[in-house]
Amino acid sequence: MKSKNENRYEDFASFFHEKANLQEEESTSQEFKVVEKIYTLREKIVLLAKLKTAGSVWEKLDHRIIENKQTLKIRKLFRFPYAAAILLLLVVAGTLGIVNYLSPFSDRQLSFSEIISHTGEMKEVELPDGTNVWLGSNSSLKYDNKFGQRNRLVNLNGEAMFDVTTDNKLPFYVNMGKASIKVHGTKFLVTSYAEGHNNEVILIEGKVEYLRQNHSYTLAPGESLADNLHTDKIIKKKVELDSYSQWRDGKVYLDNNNLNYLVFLMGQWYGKKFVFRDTNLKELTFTGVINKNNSLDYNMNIIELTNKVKFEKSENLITIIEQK
Amino acid sequence: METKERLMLTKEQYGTFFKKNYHTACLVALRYIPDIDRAEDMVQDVFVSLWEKRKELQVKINLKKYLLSAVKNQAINLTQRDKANTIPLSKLMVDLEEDEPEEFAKEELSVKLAEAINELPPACHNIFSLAYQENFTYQQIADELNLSKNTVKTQMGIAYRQLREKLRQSIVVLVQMLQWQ
Repeated sequence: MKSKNENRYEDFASFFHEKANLQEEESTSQEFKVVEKIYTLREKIVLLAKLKTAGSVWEKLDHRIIENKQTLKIRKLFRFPYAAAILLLLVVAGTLGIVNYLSPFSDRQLSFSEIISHTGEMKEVELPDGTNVWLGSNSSLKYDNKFGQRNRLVNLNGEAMFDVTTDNKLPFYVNMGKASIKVHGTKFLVTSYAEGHNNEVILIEGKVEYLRQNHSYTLAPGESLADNLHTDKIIKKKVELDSYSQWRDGKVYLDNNNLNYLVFLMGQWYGKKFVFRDTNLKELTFTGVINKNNSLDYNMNIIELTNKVKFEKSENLITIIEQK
Repeated sequence: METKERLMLTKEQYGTFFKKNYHTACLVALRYIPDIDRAEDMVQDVFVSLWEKRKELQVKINLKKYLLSAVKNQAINLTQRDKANTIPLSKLMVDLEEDEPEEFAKEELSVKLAEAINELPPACHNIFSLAYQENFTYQQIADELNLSKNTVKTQMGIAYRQLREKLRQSIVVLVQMLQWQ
């Protein structure tokens, strides 16, 4: 049997979360005020969840917090063997493509695994829950040690295709810049580079929900969603699926994407920097297939052939100018 | 007469101070700066500049309050001025007298609350997070986790009761933590 006290908290919770009625005299009680206070702090709690852990930031700040010069020398001497060991570990882990790191300051001893693909690289990974991920160029995927047991939550920066195993108890979430995707056992493609200010989701099989600022958008197979993080404009449309299934082979399907975004992607694939001499070219849109396994020159040629654009190459910089 | 004792801080002590207050400081910055990465970077800069200024600080100041006020001022500076001409951190003026005593209570309580939420029992934690952070309805949670709606309702009651009890305890802890005063 439940105590009266517990029932009261249930009523308070239902009042806030389910908009249920509450007896008037209850709403003046001390307990109610505390629940109300907790409820009103939601926004801040959501923000807190997005912050880096204090322990990891403190480690990063280490070189900026200097006690004084003398102790610094001693510390450096002490640290030398450690540094060598860490370097070795990273090199070994690096060849496997997975970096595991532990934050020694974290109270909860949460550790993260991060899979990183570099410029021009694609990686295929099987996550602990059996989910398959193909990680695109210059992308990273991060999850904690509770993945598969307490959560199925991954953080993505970049581009990836997911083939998610079904688990009704633990929903699979992909968190990215300002939005997340909730997955119900499925195959889909996500592009979300932090600097790209553009999220793109394409669903191949099953069902996903795109969650952004308390809104949820459900996608059906063959639908794509593009979210411009600058303008907050979200567009859903039908796409040709075959093209996306070929993404793994390096083929990238463009559907009215502008040149600014296209050269951003090419920058990620080939490690080059693009600048616009004529900024009005940024808004030129492209539709079609581009293969990132082809050379940069080949792809630039294609773009030059089909549009009014010309690329001028110098050592590390490619200037985009108008073709006259 | 006031004694002008200087604040003696070791790096280790400062690390403890940092870890206890970093998230609170970020929340204060996020009041004014919408971008999370920018807010975090700014808070880190303030922590570094506060460390560099530690020898000028007097023992009697409340370091936490000083930090949070500095973060607030710097955040306002950043939003009011163009990125190009921000006031350098070293010129930060912190006037403690002007601020209200409970100014940062909301941010401090939020950090405590986040910890308390993390300490909820796993089953309870999952249900509560979906409702509280993800805005799910009870029915959606029930469907999601294969539970009855009534279980969700019960667990939500348990969660709020436990959070309230935890927060009550944390007020005592809070007092103990004011070791820098």
